[in-house]
Amino acid sequence: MITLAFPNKIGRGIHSMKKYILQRVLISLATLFVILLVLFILMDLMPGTPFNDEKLTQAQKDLLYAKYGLDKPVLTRFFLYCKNMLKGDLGVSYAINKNFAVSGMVKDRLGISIAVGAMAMTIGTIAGLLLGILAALNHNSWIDNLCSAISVFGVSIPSYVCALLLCYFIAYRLNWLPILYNVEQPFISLILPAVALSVSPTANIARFTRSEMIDVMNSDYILLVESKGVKDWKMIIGHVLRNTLIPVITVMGPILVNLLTGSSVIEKIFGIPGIGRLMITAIQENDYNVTIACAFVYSLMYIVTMLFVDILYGVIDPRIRIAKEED
Amino acid sequence: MPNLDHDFHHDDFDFAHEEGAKLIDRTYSATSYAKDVWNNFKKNKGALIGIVIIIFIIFMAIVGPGMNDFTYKQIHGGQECLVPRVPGLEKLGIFDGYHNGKDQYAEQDAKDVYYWFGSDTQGRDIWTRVWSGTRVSLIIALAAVVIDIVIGMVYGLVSGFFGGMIDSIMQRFAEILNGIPTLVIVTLLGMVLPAGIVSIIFALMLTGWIGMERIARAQVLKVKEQEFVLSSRTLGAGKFRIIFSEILPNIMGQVIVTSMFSIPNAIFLEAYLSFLGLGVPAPMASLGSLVSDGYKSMTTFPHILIIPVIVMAVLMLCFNLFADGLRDAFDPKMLNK
Amino acid sequence: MKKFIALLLVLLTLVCCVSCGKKEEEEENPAAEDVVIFQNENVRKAMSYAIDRASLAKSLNDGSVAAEGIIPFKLASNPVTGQDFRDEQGAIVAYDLAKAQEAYNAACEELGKKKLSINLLYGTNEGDSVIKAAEQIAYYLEEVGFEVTLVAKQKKERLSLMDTGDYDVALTRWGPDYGDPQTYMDLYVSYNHSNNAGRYDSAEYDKLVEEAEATTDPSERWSKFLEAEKVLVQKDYGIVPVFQAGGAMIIRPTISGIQFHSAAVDNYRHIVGKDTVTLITNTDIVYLDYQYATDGTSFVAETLFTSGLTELDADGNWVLDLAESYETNADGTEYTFKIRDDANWYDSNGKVVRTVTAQDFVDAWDRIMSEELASDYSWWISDVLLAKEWTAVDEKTFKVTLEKPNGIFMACLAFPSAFPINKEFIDEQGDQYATTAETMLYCGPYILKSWTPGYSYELERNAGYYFNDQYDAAGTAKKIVFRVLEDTQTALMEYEAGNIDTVILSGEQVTANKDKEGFVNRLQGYLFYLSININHYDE
Repeated sequence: MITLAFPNKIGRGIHSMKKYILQRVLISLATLFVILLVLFILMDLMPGTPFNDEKLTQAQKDLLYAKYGLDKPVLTRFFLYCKNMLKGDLGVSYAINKNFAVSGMVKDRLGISIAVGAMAMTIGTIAGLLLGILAALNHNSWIDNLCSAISVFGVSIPSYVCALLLCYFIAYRLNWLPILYNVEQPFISLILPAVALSVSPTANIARFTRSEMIDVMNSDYILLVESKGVKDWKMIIGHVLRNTLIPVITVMGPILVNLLTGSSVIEKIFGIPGIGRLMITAIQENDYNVTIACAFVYSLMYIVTMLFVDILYGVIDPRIRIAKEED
Repeated sequence: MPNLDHDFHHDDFDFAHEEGAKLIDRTYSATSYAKDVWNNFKKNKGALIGIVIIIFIIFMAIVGPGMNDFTYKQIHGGQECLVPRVPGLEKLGIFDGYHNGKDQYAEQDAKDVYYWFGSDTQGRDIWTRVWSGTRVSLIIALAAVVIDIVIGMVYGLVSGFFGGMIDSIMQRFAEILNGIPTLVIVTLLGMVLPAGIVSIIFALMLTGWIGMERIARAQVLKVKEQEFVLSSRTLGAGKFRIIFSEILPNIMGQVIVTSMFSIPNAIFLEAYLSFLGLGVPAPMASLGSLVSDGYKSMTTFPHILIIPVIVMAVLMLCFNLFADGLRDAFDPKMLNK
Repeated sequence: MKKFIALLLVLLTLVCCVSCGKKEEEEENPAAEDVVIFQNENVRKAMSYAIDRASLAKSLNDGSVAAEGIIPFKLASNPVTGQDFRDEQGAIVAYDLAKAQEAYNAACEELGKKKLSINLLYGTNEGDSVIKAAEQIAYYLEEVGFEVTLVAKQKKERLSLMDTGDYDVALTRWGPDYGDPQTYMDLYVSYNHSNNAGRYDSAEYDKLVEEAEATTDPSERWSKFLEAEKVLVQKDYGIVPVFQAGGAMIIRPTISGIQFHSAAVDNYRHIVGKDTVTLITNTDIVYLDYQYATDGTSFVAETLFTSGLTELDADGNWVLDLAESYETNADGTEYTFKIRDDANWYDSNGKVVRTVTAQDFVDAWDRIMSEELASDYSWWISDVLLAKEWTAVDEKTFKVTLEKPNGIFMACLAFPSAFPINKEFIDEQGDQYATTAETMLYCGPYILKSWTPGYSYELERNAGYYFNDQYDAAGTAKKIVFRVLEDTQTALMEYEAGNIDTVILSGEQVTANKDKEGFVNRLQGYLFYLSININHYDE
């Protein structure tokens, strides 16, 4: 299991890295397939119908079930769905926008959610890393305590409270930014939602970076680097940061997925037609196809991100790559 | 010629710069790991303050709801949205029941009533609700931490340490579970399980541990190829000995920090769960549900929101101070310093 | 591959978990042992008297009012005197702690129990007022001695539990479809299993409702309904009315002409005061096809861009719209409408497609009644309008034969389910029909210009519409923009910043804003009541 990275193994390493990646991609596809099946079964267990329960008679409901093919067994529907999905057809919506193609609905909304999410992630990563590094470099000083306090408050105040505070002071009182999302000026009007969304990731990343970096700075190899007389900033960038980033990336993966797939509360507050809100409504309305599509987008992003994280691991840390290779 | 004629002084054969102290080898009494941890922990002032406040909040959560005559579900028609009013303090001009320059209590015909933290939109006493909510949230937080550590950490340790096929299967399972949005899973749970704390803990158990699992695994991957593990292995240590006595103490810092961060997530997830019908059944309160209820009054009667948010934030801050202290205390590298 | 076997195993575990969960749910029947308690009249009586409806409505603070019976305020008025049903009947439910206590004690004695416990089911995604009301009801019931457990469920699940009879007491609501007591009275006849979830079963009530619906004498019908309500609510306590939903909002004082109807679709056709009006809606359009639509938001938009034979005015009385004139036979079972010559279909650019014909109405009514369409509102034509036959006499003459005289026929023609369609266009568009502004035709005073689902939709005045000159003269809005926004707090900020012209207020916001200029408290038709599971356990 334990192998040292001898130079003559590097060539073979790259070759088997390719094999490893290919293998991981295949497994990820299988995982996705399983998730889709589980989603289908879960949908089948949801109580109620996707139609207007209050005013429809049983006969009318049966008719609608037959019309949309919902009277067929789960597995039949599942394979039909898979077949259609390969053609890019995700079915139609039953309740939210009746008869709309789900693929179109998801596509429109996903774009906005990704835009907000990416902005929030950028802000969160930069601010989080800066806070974390600053705290770690000044370990046990007042700067450290301040950074810690900021990140603790960041996670203990919910994003919707931050959002409304930002709205009230920056947009409403000071009038610097628009209050609501506006299609005509998407960038400007998405700043506030992105900032509100980034509070919790900032805190998480900062906290994690700090503790990770303190660990690294206390490790023997950094002591060695230090004693060799490598300059401070060079040491931090070249050695400390590189080793700090490995576990930080692990936490960043799921955070990124959560941000990109939209936050229903933030979308609600700013009136953003995003995918987070769509999914909540779909779940509440039992709109099966929309729920499955939204959930599947989430799963897809999650699996792809995890894949990237795993592969990136290998790139950043050669020890893991070689350990993997041996397996 | 050098002058050899000189006298010896009485201290000529003593060490220079040695002022009276005798250099004697001291033997330290052997201290246990637990004692080391405790000694280290004691040195950290922040951690001590943290634990004192946590104990205070726990105390308030136990006795707070009984400190006045209200109950958490008692509705007082006509006394809605009153701002805080505390006897004694009201004379100082704070907590005097004035809102926008008007004495709310006089207007609502409640001159002799004191809501220390004010009343909510249904005329319920916030003081009682906040402390009984804190009680519920503390239980949930405790459950979250325990679940995180027991399931998440062990899962991550095993998966990361053994690697290969075992790792692959365990990771695929976690991926499938995490790849399905939590919302979809808990919505379904809401149908199957009755409302109550046990259900909340079950819902947390289902999905909450995965973040911790990934971190624990990442830490193991980082640590397991390091030299001290190699040396332990060379000395013939068994797998479980390596996992629990070599790797575990080294990743404990991250594990503790991460588990503290899962507390607010658990508390807020609970608030969402009560929306789905899985959380604590109304009219019982939790910090999460108080915050999400208070949000609706944020621009009109902010006290309904601010009080639970402050309790929550202080609780979190203290948990973190405490966790930091623990982290440093547990860290074997710190122990040696 | 070993890995695939592993995956299969994982999958099996998950499926097992899920199916175990399902089994568990089937086995539990929490309410079964309490079967008998709701058949006891004193239990229901105690519940009815225990609830302080006035105090409850006040604490909801969103304009809701205490219910006085199952028929809401301003739903229907006496065909002879014009008096509101509610005013004529008076309050037939009351808050009386002593009576509630007495009934509770009597019930305990009769049932031989020390304490009566009930599960109160309610929906968590049906608005804040429902959650608050449920908590308050539980509190009032506990004051009398009941042991109440609140069962919070999502709306879909609440309905499904009520459907299977798996509940004790549920806080539910009914929105009237038309301005007649029948829309409520039909719900509780013993054979209406879709709506009478608790299986309230009273021969006396059934008979009164059947007689009322059979008679041709409007005032006899009226008095039968009055009596039926008393039997249901006051004599049998078959259901417990709680409150009628309000709708507090602020409308910019410079704007006027929004016509609210509590038992019909709100009419936004006559807004004056501004060229471009931006309104807030908290839900989006669900379906542009007015023969599919079921929700108020869609209906409001549809009455703007499509017209029917009649329209409702500010007082809720009908006026002719696309019909130029009409004739009726002596007993009021045959109506012949002459459709305006200048009524046309327009595309989304405002270009005339062709004229609106009588055949368009025939096609529309045939289509909505057809099984293939499976419209939620097919019963509008048969059960509300009571139409038996409809034909196009000539290009512009539309004739309807009714089963029997119907006092609300003309008013109910103003509902989108009775509007005409352009069949060739629908056939041509196929599945794409009514999915965007471009794939629709319009015959109303406004034309839908764009619709971004979840964000906004915009309507512009139809310059070709027959009434356009009068609109111009009155200064009616040229453009109406609906902005979809759920959060009431940011909406209020946006209103105060001057970007939108109306805002819906939550109960929390009312106290601070009720003195603002433009504050209105529109009463909605929704009546919230407790449905009691009287006989449904047995099935």
